[in-house]
Amino acid sequence: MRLSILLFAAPAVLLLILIAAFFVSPSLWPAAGPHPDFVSLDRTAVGSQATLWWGYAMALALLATLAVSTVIGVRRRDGRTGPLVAWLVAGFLVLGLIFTVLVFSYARYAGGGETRLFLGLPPPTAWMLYAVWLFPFLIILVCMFHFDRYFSKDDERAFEALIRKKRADEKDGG
Amino acid sequence: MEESRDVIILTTVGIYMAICVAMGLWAFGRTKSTDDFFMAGRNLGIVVTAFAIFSSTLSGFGFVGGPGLVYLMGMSSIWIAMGVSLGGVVMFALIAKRIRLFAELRNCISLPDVVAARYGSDSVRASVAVVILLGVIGYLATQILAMAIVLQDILIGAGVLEDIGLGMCVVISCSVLVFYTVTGGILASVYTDLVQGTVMVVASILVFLTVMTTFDGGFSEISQIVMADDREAMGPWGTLGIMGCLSWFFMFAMGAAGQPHVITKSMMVRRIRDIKYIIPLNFLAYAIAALLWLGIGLAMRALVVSGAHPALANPDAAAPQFLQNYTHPLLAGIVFAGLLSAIMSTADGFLNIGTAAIVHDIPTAIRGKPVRSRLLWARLTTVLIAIVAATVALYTGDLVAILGAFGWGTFAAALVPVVAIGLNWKRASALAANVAVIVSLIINLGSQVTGIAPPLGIDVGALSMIVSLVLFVGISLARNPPPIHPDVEAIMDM
Repeated sequence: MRLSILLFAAPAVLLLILIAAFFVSPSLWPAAGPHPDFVSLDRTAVGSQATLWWGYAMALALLATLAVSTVIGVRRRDGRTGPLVAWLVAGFLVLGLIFTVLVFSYARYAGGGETRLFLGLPPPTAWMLYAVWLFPFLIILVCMFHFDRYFSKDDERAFEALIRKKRADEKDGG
Repeated sequence: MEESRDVIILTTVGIYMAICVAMGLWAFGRTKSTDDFFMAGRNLGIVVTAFAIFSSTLSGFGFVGGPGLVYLMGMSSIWIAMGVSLGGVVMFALIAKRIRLFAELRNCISLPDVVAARYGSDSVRASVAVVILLGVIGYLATQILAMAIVLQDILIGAGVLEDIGLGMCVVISCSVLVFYTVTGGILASVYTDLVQGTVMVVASILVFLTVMTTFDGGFSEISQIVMADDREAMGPWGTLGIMGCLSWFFMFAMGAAGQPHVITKSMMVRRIRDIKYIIPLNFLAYAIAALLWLGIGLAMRALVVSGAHPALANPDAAAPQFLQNYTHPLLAGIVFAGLLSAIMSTADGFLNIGTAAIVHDIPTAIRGKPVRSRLLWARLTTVLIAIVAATVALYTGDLVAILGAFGWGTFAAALVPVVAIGLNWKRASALAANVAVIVSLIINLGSQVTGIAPPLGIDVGALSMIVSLVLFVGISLARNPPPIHPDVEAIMDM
C-alpha cells in the first residue's frame, strides 16, 4: 500500500513543481532567441541559472517517479527480488547524486571565467555525457546479473504449468 | 572518387533497397499464419530482437532531426538520447518480462490484446487501439514524407531523374516498404531491422570518427568554438534551458515503455530469459547511434560559427550538408542508406501495429471476434494503411506535422500508465486506464491544434504523461481494488 501511495505522490509532486515554476517565476524563463549573426541557429539570452533550482527539484522528482515505477515492476511478494529492488533504489540514488554534482558544476560554469575541458567537454557537460548518460548501463548490467531473481527457475516452472493447464482447459472446453 | 559521389550514394541506397526486397521474399515462405505475420511466431533470437527494438526506436528523427536540433540548440536535444538510454531500465523493469508472459498466456498478437487481458475490458482494448491507429497514421505519414524527401534528394543529386516529383518518390519508397511488410509481415520487418540497425551503428561510428578529424584540435576545438560563441550552447542544457531538457529526458525515459511499435517486439522473443541480454545490447546500439546525432550537430555548429561553412537555410540540413561536404563518398552512401534504414525500420513497425488494430483489435472490441481470413485481410490492410498515410503525407499540409508531433508524446502519455504501470500494479482499474487515455489525447491534440505550449520549454508530451500518471494512479487508489482473473494475477506475481 505504501508503494502505491508513493506511486501517486512522486508524479504528483513533479506536477506541483512544474505548476509552481510556471506561476512563481515567469520572469525567469530562459529566453533563447535567434542568433544575431547566423540564420537557423539559436542563442541563449538568459541561461538556465535563472531556473536552475526549479530544474534541480524537477530532476529529483522525476528520478523519484522513475525509481518508484521501476520498483513496482521488480518487487515480489515473497521478497525474493529484495536485492534487485535494493540495487535499483541505490542506482537511482546515485543518479540523483550525479544530478546534484551536475547542477553545482553548471552553477560554477554559468558564472563564467576560464573553463578547463575534461575529455573535450566543459565539466558540467562532461558530467552529463559521461555520467548521467552512461550510468544507467551499470543499472542494466546489475539487472542482467540478477535476472534469475527477477524471473527464477520456480517462476519458469510455474509459468509452464500455467500454460499447460490453460491449453488443457481450452482443449476440454472444445 | 569525389566526382562519383552522387552515383556511389545512389548505388549504396539501391543495394540497401534490394536487400529489403530480398528479405520480404525470404520471409514470405515463413509467414503462414497471423501469429507469424504479427508476432513472428514468438520465436525471435537475442540479436534480432535487440536490433528490432533499437531500429524501431531510432526513427528518421534521430538521423536528421537530432543533428539538426544539436546544430540549432547545442546540447539540449542530447537529453532525448539520454532519456531513451535510461528507458532501457524502465523497459527491463516494467515491460519486457511482463508483456512476454501475457502474450504467451493469452495468445496475444497485439498490445490492445495484452491490455484487454490485463483489465478484462474491451473498452480499454478499443481505446488503446484507437490511440494506436491515430498515432500510426500520423507517425507513418511523417516517415513516408521524410523517406520520399531523402530519395528525391538522392535521385536529383545523382542526375538520374532530375525532374522527379515528390509524389513519385513516395510511390517508389512506399513500394519497397509495403512489399517487404506485406509479403513477410513482422518477420521481414525484424530481419530488415537487423540489417538496418547494423547499417546505422556502423555509419554512426564512422561518422563520429570523421567528426573528430574535422578540426585539427578534435572535439576539444569544437567545444571551444561553440563555447566562445555561446557558452550556454555547450553547457548541459543548451539553449532550451534546464526544465525543457529534463522534460525531454523524462518523456523519453518513461515514454519508451509506451511506444507500441517498440514494446510489441518484446512479445516476440523466443525465451523470456533472453531479455537479460536484449536490453543491454539495445542500450549499446542506441548509444553508439546517438554519436552521429551529437557529432554532426556540434561539428556543423562549430563550422558555421567559425566561418568555415555558410549558415544553413534550416537546421535539418545539418546532416545532409555534413555528409556532402566532409565525409568520404562511400561513407556518405552508407549514412544515406542508414537514414533510409532509420525511417523504414520505424515505418514497418507502425504498419504492423496499425494493421493489427484494424483487422484484429477494433473488430474484437466491437463484436467480440476478429475478422475472418485474418492473414489475407492483414496483407490487404497493410497496403491500405500505407496508401492512406501516403495520401495524408502528400495532400494534408500542416496536418502531417500536427499528427507527426502527436506521435511519441501521445503514445507515452496514453500508454505508459495503462501498459507499463498497469501490467505491474494490481490496483489499476479499467476506468482509470480509459481516463488516462482520453485525457492524454485531449491535452496532446489540444496543444497541437491550438498551438498552446507549456512555458519554460516543457514538452507537452511530458506534461500530459505526468497528468495522466497522476490521474491513473489517483483514480485507481480512490476505488476498491478491481477483480483480476486468477491466471492474470498469477503472472503478475511472477
